[in-house]
Amino acid sequence: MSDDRIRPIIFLILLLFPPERLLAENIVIGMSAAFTGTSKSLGTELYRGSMAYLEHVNRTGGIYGQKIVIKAYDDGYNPIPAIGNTIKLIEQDNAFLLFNYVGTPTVTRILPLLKSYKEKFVYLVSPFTGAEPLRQPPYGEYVFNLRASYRDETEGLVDNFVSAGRSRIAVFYQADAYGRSGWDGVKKALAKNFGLKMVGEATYRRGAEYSQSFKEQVDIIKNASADVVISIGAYAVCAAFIRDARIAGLNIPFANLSFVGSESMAELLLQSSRATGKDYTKDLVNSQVVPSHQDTALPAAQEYRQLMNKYQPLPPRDLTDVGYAPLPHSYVGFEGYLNAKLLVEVLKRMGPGPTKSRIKGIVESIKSADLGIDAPVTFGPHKHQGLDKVYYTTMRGDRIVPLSDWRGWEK
Amino acid sequence: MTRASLFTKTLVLIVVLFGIIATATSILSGWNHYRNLTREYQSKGEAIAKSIADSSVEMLLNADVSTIQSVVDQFTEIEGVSYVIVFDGQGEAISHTFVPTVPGNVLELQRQTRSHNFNGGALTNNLRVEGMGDFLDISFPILAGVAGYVHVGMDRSLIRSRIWSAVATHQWLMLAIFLLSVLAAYVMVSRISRPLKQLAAHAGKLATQDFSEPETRPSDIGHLPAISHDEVGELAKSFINMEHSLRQSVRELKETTAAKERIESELKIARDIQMSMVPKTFPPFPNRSEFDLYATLVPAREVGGDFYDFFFIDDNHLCFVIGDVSGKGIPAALFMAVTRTLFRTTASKVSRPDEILSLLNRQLCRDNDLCMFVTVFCAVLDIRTGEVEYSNGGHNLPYFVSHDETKPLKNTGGMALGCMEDVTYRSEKIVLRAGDVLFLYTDGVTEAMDERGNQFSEPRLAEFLRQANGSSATEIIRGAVDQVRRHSASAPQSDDITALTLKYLLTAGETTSETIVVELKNNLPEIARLAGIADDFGQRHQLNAGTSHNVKIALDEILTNIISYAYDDAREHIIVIRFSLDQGKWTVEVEDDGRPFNPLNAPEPDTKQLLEERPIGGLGIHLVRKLIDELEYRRQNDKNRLVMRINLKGP
Repeated sequence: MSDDRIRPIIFLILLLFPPERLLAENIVIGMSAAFTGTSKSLGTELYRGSMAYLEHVNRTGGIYGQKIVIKAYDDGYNPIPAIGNTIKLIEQDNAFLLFNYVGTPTVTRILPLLKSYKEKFVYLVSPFTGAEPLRQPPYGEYVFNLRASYRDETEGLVDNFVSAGRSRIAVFYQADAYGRSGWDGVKKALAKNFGLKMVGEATYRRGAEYSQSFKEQVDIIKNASADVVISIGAYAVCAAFIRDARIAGLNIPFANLSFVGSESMAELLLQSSRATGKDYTKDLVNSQVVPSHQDTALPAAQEYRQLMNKYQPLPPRDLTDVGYAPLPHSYVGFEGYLNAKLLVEVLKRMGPGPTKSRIKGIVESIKSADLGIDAPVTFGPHKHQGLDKVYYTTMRGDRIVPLSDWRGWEK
Repeated sequence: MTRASLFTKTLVLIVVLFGIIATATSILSGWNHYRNLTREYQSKGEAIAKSIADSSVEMLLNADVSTIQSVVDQFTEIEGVSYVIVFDGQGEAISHTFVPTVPGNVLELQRQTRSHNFNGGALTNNLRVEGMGDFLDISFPILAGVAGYVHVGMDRSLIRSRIWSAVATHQWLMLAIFLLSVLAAYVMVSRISRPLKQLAAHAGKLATQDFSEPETRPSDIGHLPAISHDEVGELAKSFINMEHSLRQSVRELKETTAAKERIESELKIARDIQMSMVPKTFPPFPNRSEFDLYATLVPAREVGGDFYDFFFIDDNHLCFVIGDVSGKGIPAALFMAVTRTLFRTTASKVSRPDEILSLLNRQLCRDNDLCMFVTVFCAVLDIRTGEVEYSNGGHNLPYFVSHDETKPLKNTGGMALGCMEDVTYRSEKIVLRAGDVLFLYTDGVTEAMDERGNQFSEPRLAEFLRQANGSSATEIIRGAVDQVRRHSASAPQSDDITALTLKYLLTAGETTSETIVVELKNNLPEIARLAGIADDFGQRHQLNAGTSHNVKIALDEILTNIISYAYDDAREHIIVIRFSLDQGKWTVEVEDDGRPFNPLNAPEPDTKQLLEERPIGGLGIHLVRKLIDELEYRRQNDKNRLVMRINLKGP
């Protein structure tokens, strides 16, 4: 065969199958999260943490040559946009899977979508929420959680506080599925382990801001004579609640769930502390679902800090909030980083030419996978939650430090 | 002004009506809205509660409250849903949307409704939450209450605000209709009131308009009947008609007034003529004490032509007259003037009343083409004897009034003057004694009518005169006129009222013998009556009975003769007998209008002749000659006059 004959054929082949498409079709991962509004740091930091790792993977050959691209939309922590984004990701963007969704009220509302798109094998991987509906029938089978549940977090908090002698537990929570999830966790933990009931509860409306007053809620808790408060809310409100409680002279420990994003909350409180001279960061406990990113004994923590520093990922270009200063490192970002590691693990296990229909089987086959932290990740047909370990942090001055000794709050 | 007040009234009416309508419809609409919205909200709430209850069963059993919360949250996005709360079987709130916490009375309500038998349906309660508002709380059991209860709170303030907005919309609509109505009313009222105003202005100008002038320009409301086919047009039409009539009446009135004024001036002339013709000075003869005379003439508006007059013919004879000319006005006045002038002239020529009237009649008849006539009563009084000779020309007979009787004078039978030239007037005589009165009048007295047309009448006059016996002439006249006026009262005087009274007075120190005048008809029974009168006369004057007897026999003879032979016809004739005493003699005068016969010329009777053969009267005259001292015969004025005198011998 002479060159003259071959050339037109090659040309024709190249015309029909352009090299890029032929060689490297991106794997599109869909994400809907809060990039604006009071919880904007959650979506942003989660995305950045994931992107630190994915950037690294993409730059080092991708997944069998395919690059991983996160298609991110903003839902502002509201259910309706979340539903719209999800439909768009499935129908329009043909996302390979859904990833890094943020928030209970948002995610619980898109769960029925997953079921209705059953034929398309749409799965949600590592959402940033610990709510029960993601872990239980009828929708639990379409979701693969990496993090421990709110029930795990609240149960841990309750166990520790009650053990420390603080059994008059009150709950401050967001009046929605997220708040209810945490509330229910506290309630059940008290009942199951100690036969106790919470002594008081107060709610707030989702979307409230740090500038608002929560004196009403503080009064309710105060009147309940609680000796500890577990807040299930977004970081801005939880910070405002702590601020108002301290102003009202309520000097009891305040515990928050992982969802608050410790660094974001700390920043708000520290700002107020600096402004008023009051110490708002005292007696704070945060439950976390990932280990401290400052723990250099953990390979993942090292990698995370390294890659973050190296790539300094930006938020999605079209979703950048002008006034937002990205955190260098954070628990949320570290969770995003670990989520990305899980995602890459799943994609790698699929081999070249991944198909959605095989996702469930692949993920459920992961047993004792090492993501570089102190706990192995294991999934199974009836185990759609990879980790269940809960970590605790507290504030020392302006620093977030791991908490191992609860005796400081003994009563 | 018209428009303003009309419009104001209409406006008030519209405002009141619209106020009532707006209030009523607003209440109705508000109530309807309230009922419908409440029902709608209730059914909406029931549907939501039921839906949550149904979907919660499995979630509750799965013990996943966050999913329930998620479901519950979705419903709060529905308009009108204020809260949703789900209680578990133990009555504990497991999901709700309250911030910052569940109000106590919601929990209280839940405790109360747990015992309620829902029976498959929902339960609705009105709930007020302090600081939150009013709600319709709709509760629904989950698994018949075993698994719990759902409460849905529907915001009633939304119902209220929607009612208010509905009512407001309604009111805006009403306001728009109201404004349109006001505008329409304004236009309507203007359209009605403009012609009314024109009419009013026109009516105002009517007062100052000169209706005697003919219309110089078309009426400024003349166009109204054509453009307003309603009551206003009718009114304008009436106005125009009225104006026309008014104009015509004024014109007619003006003409009538002018004519009347002309007549009035004529009447005045006539009255002046009349009044200038009658003597008005009383007493007329102050140096005469034998009689008292007074007369008056009250002219009617339209002169009737009455007159009276009195004057001395000679020293002893007073002539007095009263008359009434036919017709009215100037012709009557002139004719009266002529009559009265001629009368004076005539009276200067002849002295007896009958002669005066006869002559006057002839003169009046001459050249009287209009055939006007005048009734005249004329009398002449011998003031020495009281003898009055009178003649009547168709006039009302005067009344004679004495102390014992009141009667009209005997008629002389003459007709009114001025009609027929060849009329003879006769005269009569009556002797007045002291105190006797003659009352002369015209028909204006007796025919004066009251408002109902009743005449004053002669009986009433006679009665008045009887009563007035003894009064002076002036008093009688004034009294009579006063009576007549009182009778007429407000009825207009249609004819002249004229009256003349003569009262004869006995002059002091002078004896005047009594004279009795007796009138007999020409039949024999009258002779007996005369005999009675003669007896009375004799007795009254204490005359010798024999003398009276002789007089009676003589009169019997003479009168039998006259009645039996003096008349050639079978008609009634009057024979006048006068008895009088004068210078010791009883004088009897017999006057008849039979054929001339002087009894004194009768021959002495041949007593030897057979009675049947003797000439008529012969024996009677003979006897009379023997009984009577003096006999005297005279033929005068076509009358036989026999005077007999008997010397008085004492009783």
